[in-house]
Amino acid sequence: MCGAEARRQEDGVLGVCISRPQPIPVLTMHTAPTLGCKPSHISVRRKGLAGKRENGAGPEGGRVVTESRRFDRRAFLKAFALGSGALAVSASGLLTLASLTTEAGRREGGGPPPRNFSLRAREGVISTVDGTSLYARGFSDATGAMRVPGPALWAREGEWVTMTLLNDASQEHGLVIDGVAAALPAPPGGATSVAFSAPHAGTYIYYDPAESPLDRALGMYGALIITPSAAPDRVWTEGPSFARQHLQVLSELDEGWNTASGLGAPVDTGAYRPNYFFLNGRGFPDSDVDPDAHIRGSVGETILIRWANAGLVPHSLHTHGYHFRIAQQDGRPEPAFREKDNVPIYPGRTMDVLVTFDQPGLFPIHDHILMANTGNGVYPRGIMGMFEVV
Amino acid sequence: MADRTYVLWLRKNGSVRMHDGVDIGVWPFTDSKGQASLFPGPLLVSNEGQTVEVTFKNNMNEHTFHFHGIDADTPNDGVPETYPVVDTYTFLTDHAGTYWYHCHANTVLHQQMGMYGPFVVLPADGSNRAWTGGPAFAKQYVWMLSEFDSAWRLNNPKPNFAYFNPDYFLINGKDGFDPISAEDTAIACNAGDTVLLRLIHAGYLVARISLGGLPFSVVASDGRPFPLQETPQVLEMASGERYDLLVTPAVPGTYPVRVDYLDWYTRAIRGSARTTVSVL
Repeated sequence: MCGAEARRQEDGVLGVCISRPQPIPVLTMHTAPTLGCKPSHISVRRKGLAGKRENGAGPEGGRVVTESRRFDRRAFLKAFALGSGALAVSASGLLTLASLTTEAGRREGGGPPPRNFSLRAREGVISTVDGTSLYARGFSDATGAMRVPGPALWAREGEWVTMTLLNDASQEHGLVIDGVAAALPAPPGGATSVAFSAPHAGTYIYYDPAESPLDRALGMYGALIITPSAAPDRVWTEGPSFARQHLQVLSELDEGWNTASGLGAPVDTGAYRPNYFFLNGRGFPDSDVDPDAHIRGSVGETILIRWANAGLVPHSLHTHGYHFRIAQQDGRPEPAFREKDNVPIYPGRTMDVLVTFDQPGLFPIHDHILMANTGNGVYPRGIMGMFEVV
Repeated sequence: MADRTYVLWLRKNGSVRMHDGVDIGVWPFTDSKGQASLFPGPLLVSNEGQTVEVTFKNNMNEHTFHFHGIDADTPNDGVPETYPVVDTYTFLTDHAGTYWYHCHANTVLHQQMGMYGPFVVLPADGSNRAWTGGPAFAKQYVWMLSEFDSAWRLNNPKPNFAYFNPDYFLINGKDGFDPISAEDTAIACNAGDTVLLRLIHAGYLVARISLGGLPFSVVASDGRPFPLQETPQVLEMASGERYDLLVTPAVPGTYPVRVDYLDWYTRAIRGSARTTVSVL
């Protein structure tokens, strides 16, 4: 349960707050997918088929067909209740933005004026590394064009955060941060909002759960970064410090899903065959223009990389030239600082790692699940960035 | 002057026979000219603190060696996108642990074709310890985990390397429904012996490993000791990772080992490799 948030709920201020999903009880060294992030979880689909998939049937076992473009509100709420163990609603009903932005609301919450983020849900066209144009759905900021991933949002731990989604698309869209907040879906032309107290410092993923996992796969995701309130240059309050930080959002798409969705055709979300793979929305070498993908630094510096897997499949990142130290996973400190050169990031999960440059050189950072190191099968046009250290 | 020198040849016309009698094409290595090729490639060994020189003898500018986890400098890192292809690689092995080498040119295909092998760095004194001053063991095994997609070996239709549909699931290059009995894979020890098992994931699907209920400790990964030993019953690992396990079976018997390879999206088991731990 989010502690501070829970107290505020008792005061009747905060509306929608859900506890962090518990890790599934499988003994693995690394983060297996949370329930909330499994493609089988938050979804609108035919009853009976969903259970099959969750029980581990093969790709042929659970054919899951997205039922309609309509967003099923009840299924949405039920999914949260199941995934999180709790769906807390204040005595006054669901949160309204006014309850936070009014002076009274602020007094009761005891925090500073809220940090307001405004996003738009949009449809558009993206261009892949080989020049293919594909229909996509994504987020934009209040005035800009659709971006995949959506804008990176930055807030400080404990701060009030409000997120407003204006739906410019022709389907219903919502907004979720697993374990943190969920906005109810907005109809085309409508708006929805959610407010929450910024959780523990770390890296989070916001995404649209509509037609799960379809809209996320079509591009509706982005990162929310929470920095410690008093020490933004530390991984967490009193945690290790770093010279600079770089966000690397990992994702991929199945061209067939995008094409079908653009034509209004149904998508079988039981079969996912991704063929383009992205580091901050780009394949290599397009990613070279992104200073968070092609990281420049100097010998002696320690940097923080925030890996966020917004896709539907695991990505196994390998750094050349340097080992990294795992500092944080899913907004929780990892005080053992395990040192590795290769680690999987499961779908919906994040991992923050420290890298100390102890030699100069040019070294790749790439996905070792090598299909994801291609763009539609062509190597190395997938998830690959660089360290360039002098 | 290097403390250890290795020379490797590539054999591009290799094949390995699967349990169903099908020969799968591989591009394996050999460590002495005229000798039969090995799949996975020869085990390279050094001691902590030693400098190693590895020469690719018949490269013809098409391939590289990347010594995965060694953190070599850029000229010796084997990445064509960062440095022109060379034939001789020199680097310091300054941390005992488990590593591997593989070709880093068109890696998606060349790794699948078997251009890889294990690399172990022993403690400075070469002793049977997981690292210098680390826990001791009586025997050690190296398991390279991987899969084969036979369709990637066809020219017609030309494969799209974004789509990986493996049909063979391997430990140390062998597959099958029967437990793999090869001496380098099936673990044989006496009750009370401590065995170090070095796992290297050279495949593309997440692998889930269990040792028939035998408890084990994960003591190191990727060439670095863990600050705290972890004792899961099932270990999951992904492409490129290495884990060092200590297992000390107390009760004689035969324990069935399973390595399940999980679908990238659904996590359903796509295939499994089996072997045993035999405790006398």
